[in-house]
Amino acid sequence: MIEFREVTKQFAGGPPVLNGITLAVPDGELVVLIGPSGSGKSTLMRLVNRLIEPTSGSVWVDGRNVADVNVVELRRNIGYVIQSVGLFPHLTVAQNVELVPSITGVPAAQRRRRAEDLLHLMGLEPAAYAERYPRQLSGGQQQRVGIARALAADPAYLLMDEPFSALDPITREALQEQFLQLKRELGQTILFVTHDVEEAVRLGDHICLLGDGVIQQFGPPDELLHRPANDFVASFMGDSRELLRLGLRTAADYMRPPDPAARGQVGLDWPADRALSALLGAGGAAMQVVAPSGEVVGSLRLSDFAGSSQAQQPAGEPGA
Amino acid sequence: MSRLGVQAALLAAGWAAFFWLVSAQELWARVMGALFPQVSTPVYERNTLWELTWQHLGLTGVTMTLVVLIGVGLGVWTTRAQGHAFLPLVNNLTTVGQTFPPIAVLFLALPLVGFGATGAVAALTLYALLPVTRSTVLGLQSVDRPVLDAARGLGLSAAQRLWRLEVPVALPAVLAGIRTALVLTIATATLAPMVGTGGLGVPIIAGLGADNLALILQGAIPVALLALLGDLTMRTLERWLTPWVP
Ligand SMILES: Nc1ncnc2c1ncn2[C@@H]1O[C@H](COP(=O)(O)OP(=O)(O)O)[C@@H](O)[C@H]1O
Ligand SMILES: [Mg+2]
Repeated sequence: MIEFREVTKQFAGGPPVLNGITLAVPDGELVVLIGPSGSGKSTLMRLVNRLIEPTSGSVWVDGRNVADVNVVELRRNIGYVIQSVGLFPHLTVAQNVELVPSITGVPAAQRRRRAEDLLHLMGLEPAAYAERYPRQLSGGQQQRVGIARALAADPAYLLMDEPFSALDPITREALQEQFLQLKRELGQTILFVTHDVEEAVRLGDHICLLGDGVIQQFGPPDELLHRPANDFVASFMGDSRELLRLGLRTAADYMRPPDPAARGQVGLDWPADRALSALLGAGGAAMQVVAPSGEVVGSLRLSDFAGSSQAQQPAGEPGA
Repeated sequence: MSRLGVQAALLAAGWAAFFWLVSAQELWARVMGALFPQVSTPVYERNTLWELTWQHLGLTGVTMTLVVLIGVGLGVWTTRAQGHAFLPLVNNLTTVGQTFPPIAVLFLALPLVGFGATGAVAALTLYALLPVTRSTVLGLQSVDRPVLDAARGLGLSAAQRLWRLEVPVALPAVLAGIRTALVLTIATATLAPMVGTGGLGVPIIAGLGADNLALILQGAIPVALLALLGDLTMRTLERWLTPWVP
């Protein structure tokens, strides 16, 4: 668990950037820090691996005050991924991934195997990429290597500062998808900074919205979208927030029993926004909902979205 | 064979040809005698060309060792927190060292270090320090902020960041600076006889005094070849040591 207790940070000569932040990132969860540019997201994140020291308050990782932990030891247990990636230009992809294990003295063969596994997991075939230099990779490929490098020493924690923000939308979405899968497999505790609401909603187990030096709202994505705590949150999450909420659900959450008059099909496991889009495209007629097996399991019409969105909870968020 | 292999093989052949040429005292005497029938001494006679060449290589070698140690040392020191305050001073001193004509540096250094090989080496070192110091500083400063930030965040200590990141990233610039200094030293070392040392400048200066073009060429041709070979050797070394450079 990562815990911030009454953390305040003031840079010399400026107003406080963070003002009494108390926040916990539970084990195995991904918490997104979001907020306008300059709201202190990176500052808050960099307090965890002590790239910055707090003015007052404390940061706790694994039940230990980070101020009492050897800084090198602390950082080796916390993977760090940044927007500009920061690969070493003179090392090959494999050498970059093996950087930390090579310093901590992991045997060459063992760390090489680990690097290849991680590259494979990140969708870069080692045979094709291991011996390349960073400048020979696209931005998306570089960030895949950056994530593999952060995971190489198998840290329990990951800090990610806008890792996908510099990528084009298609690459970004592919990486988000792959990253979600990776997260499920590896189970790290992750603090993730972004300024992109869609990304926050897609990736976060919880979202922490920073503004004016304080936490404006902390909660599951659905809560920030559906019950914004104040005008700041409502305006930051945007006017399309009810549409964004649909992305948290599937067609299954909205469907009614099969309707013989329905024409056209949507998938049972489609995100609800995709199903809605299909319905709009069909001109408002009812459509069949089809399970992956091909069996018709229900039907959907436009009015289903208006009625049930208040009552239903997204899958996997009981009682949220 | 790889491109680098071919380059290295050609280079080895070049050096072999050079050493054969400077060992062929008889050949020089005959060719120069034929080219300049009017001069009485077509080759320098108090030392063989072979001896002069090795004196020149010795001067260059000692100077370059000092230049690399001091230049890289100063570059690293002035880019650390401890030495940062001295960066402008070091920049200015090395620049002054180089804007003076080499002959002036040689003579200015005389009262400090005395006549002879020590004086020559000291003056040559001062003169060639600038490109190495400057390129070390620029190379170390060229490390991208985010890369340094990532290195810090991943738990590399200051020493690990220096040796595993900053030095390798600076290496292409440092090597290019050393190459410049090397060519400069090979050329400037021809002035060393003026402060009482040997080298390939000896026949050149003797030839200038006696209006003997044969003697001048006997020194100038090997110096030119040496500078060329030194440059190519450094370029090959750069390619070999920094394969990541496009
Ligand atoms: N090292 C620093 N020195 C002085 N001010 C800083 C420093 N780092 C960040 N700041 C200031 O703190 C504020 C928050 O910055 P940051 O945490 O980077 O915001 P965000 O990541 O949310 O865009 C900004 O106003 C920035 O100028
Ligand atoms: Mg930031």
